[in-house]
Amino acid sequence: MSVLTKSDICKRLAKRDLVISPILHPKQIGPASVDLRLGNTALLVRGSDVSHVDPKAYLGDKRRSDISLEDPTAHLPDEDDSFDMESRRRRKMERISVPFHTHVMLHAGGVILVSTFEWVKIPKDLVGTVTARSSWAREGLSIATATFINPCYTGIITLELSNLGQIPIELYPGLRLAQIAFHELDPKTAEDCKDARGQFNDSFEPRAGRIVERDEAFIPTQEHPDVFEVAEDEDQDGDLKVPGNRESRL
Amino acid sequence: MLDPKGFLLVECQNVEQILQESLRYRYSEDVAAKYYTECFARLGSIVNGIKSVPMDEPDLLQDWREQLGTLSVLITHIERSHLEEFPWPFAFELERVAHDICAHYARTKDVLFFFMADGSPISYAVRGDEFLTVRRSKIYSVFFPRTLKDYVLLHAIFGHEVGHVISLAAGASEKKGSEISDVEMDLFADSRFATIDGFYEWCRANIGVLSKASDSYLKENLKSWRREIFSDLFGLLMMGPSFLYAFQSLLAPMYAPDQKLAFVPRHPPYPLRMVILHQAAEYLKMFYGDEGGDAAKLFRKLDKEFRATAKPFLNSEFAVVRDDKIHAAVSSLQKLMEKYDKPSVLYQRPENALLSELIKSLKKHIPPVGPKQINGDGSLQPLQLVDFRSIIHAGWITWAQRSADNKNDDLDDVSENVSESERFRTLNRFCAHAIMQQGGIRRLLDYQLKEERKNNQ
Repeated sequence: MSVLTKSDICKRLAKRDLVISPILHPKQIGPASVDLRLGNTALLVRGSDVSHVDPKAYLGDKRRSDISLEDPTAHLPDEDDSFDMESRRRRKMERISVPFHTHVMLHAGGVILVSTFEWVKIPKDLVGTVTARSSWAREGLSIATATFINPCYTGIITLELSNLGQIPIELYPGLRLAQIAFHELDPKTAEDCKDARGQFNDSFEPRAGRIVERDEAFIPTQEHPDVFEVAEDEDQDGDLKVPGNRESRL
Repeated sequence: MLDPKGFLLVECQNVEQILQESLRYRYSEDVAAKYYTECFARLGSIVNGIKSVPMDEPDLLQDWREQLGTLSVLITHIERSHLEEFPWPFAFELERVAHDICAHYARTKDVLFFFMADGSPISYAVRGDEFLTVRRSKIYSVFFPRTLKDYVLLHAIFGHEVGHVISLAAGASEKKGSEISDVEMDLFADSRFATIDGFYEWCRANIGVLSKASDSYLKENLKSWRREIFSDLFGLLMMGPSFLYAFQSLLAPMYAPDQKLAFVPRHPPYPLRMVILHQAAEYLKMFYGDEGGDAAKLFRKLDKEFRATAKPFLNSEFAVVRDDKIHAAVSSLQKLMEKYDKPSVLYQRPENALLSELIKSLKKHIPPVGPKQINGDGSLQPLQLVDFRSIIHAGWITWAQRSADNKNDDLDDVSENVSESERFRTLNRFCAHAIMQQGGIRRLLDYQLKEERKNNQ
C-alpha cells in the first residue's frame, strides 16, 4: 500500500477519478496530502437534554432508515420503538448552520462533528486517511476518530473535532483544519470494495452514527431480556423483582 | 378595568418583553442585529405615539394599535427564522440579486431582507412591510416553505415573489405614468380584459362566475391579475428557464384538468398563466433546444416537457393576451431590469460548455460548483464564480435527462433502488450544496480583490 504523492493526486483529480471539490488554492495540495476546510454544518451534544449515551435509543435505527412512503405504517412507534427513545436520540445532538464569517466555538474537552467544505469521492482502489493539520494540532485541536475513509465513499467528510487544550477555539468555515492522504490498495483486492457503501455515504452534513447496527443481540430489551435475569419474579439475590422493565430497575 | 390607552401601553411592555426574549434565538446572522434594532426603534416610536394621544380622543389610538400588532408579528417571525429551517445559501443569493432593485422601488437604501420558514408549498412569499409611519428601514419578509427546505430547483419561483414586491412598492396599477404601471396596464390593452365588462364576460364563460359582482370587486381582481402576470414575467426574466419548470411543478397540482375552473380571487387561472409564460419564453428564445447542434441536446428534453404541458391551452380561450403585447411588456421589463447589473437582476444564460460541466458533475454525484478545476499537468484553473441560477438550470436539465440515455451515469447507477421523489430531493441537495460552496468561493475572490486593490494603492 503506497501513499500517493502530489503528482499522483493531481493526475487522479484531473481524471476525476478522485474528487475533492472545490479546491480553493493550489497550495491546498501538499507533497502527499490535500488540505480540507471546515464546512458550514456542525453537530453539538446538547448536554441539557441527555444524561448519557444510551445504545438502546439506537435500536430502531435500521428499520427507520428503511421507511418509505409505500409503507407509512413503519413510522408508527411500537413497544420497542417508543416515541421517547426516538426523541431522546434526536435531542442528543443539536445541528447548527455556520455561515461564512460566523464561527462555532469548540470548548476545552468538547467534541463536535463538523462537515468539510469539500465534497469528496474516493475511487475503489484508494483509501483516505484524515488527520488534523499540524499547525492546528499545536493549538490543541484533534481529529478524534474516523481517520479512514473507505474506497468508493462519496460525500462530505465528517470531522470529529475535539479540543485537547485548556482554552476554547473559535472555528470559522473555510479554515483549513484537516488533511487527507491517500493509500493505494492492491488492484486485486480493490474489487472487493466496489460494493462496500458505508452508512455515511452520500452525506451532505455530519450525522450521528448507528452505533448498535448488527450488535442488537447485545442490548437487553423487554423482548430479549438480560441473560442474567434468573427467574420470572425474582432477581439474582432472590428478592422479588420490581415491576417494570430492566431499565426502570436500574 | 383598563382604558384603551392603558391597555395599549401594557401591550407595548409585552411586545418589548417578547423582543427581549428574541435575543435568545439564533437567527439570520447577517441581519439579526439590524432587525432587532429596527423593531426596537419602531416600538419606541409607537410608545411615544400612544402616549401623545389625548385621553378624550381614543379614535386616534386605532392606527397605533394596528402598528403595534404588525410589529408583534414581525418579532414573532424571529422564532421561525432559525438557520436550520430555510436554505440560507440560496436566501443570501436571492437577497444579493434582489436588494438594489427592491431598494430603488421602495425609495430607500435601508432595506432588510428577513428570511424564515413557514408551512407548505403555497407559503412562498416575499412581503414588504406596510409599516410606513415609524419605520427607519424597509423590511421584506421572505417566506420559504418549511417542507421544501432543500428544494432549490423549486425556489426559482421566488422570481415571481420579487416581482410582486416591486409591483407593490412602485404602487403600480394605481396610476398610469410610472414605468412599472405602464408595463402592467399595457398588457391587457386591446384584449378582452381591456374593460371590466369584457373581463366579467370572459370569467363567466370560462371559469364559472355566474352572478355579476360589483364593478369595484371586478376592478380589484383585474388589477390583481395584472400584477400576477407582471410578476410571472418578472420571475421568468430574473430566474430564466428554471422559473418555467418551478412554476409548472408547483402550480400544476392545483389544477384539475377534468373539472371546470373555479374563480379564485386575485389569481388568474393556471392555464392562462401558462399560455402567457409560453408566449414570453418563445419571444425570449428561452427554449434553447430549438437552436440545433450538439448543445441543443442538453435542453431539448426539458423544453419538450414544458411545451407539452402548455400545448393544450395555446389556442384555447386562455390565449387572451396578444403576442405583441407580451413582447412589448417583456422588452420594457428587460430594459428596466438591465439597470441593476451588479449583480445582474436579469438572468444571464451561461455558456453551454459551463452548463455541460455542471450537468456532468451532477450525473457523477458531485455538487455542480463549477467547471473542472485541475488540468492534466496538475495545475489549477482559476476559480470561477457561477451564478446560482445557472446551477439551478443545470439541475433542471439533469432532472429531465435522468432516464434512458444515462444508464451509465452515477446518478442512475446509485439511484436504481431509490424512489423518484428521493432522487429529486438528492438532486436538489447537490445543487443547494454547490450554491453554498459558491458562497465560499465568492468570499475568497472578494477578499483577494480587496487585497489586490490595497496593494495597488
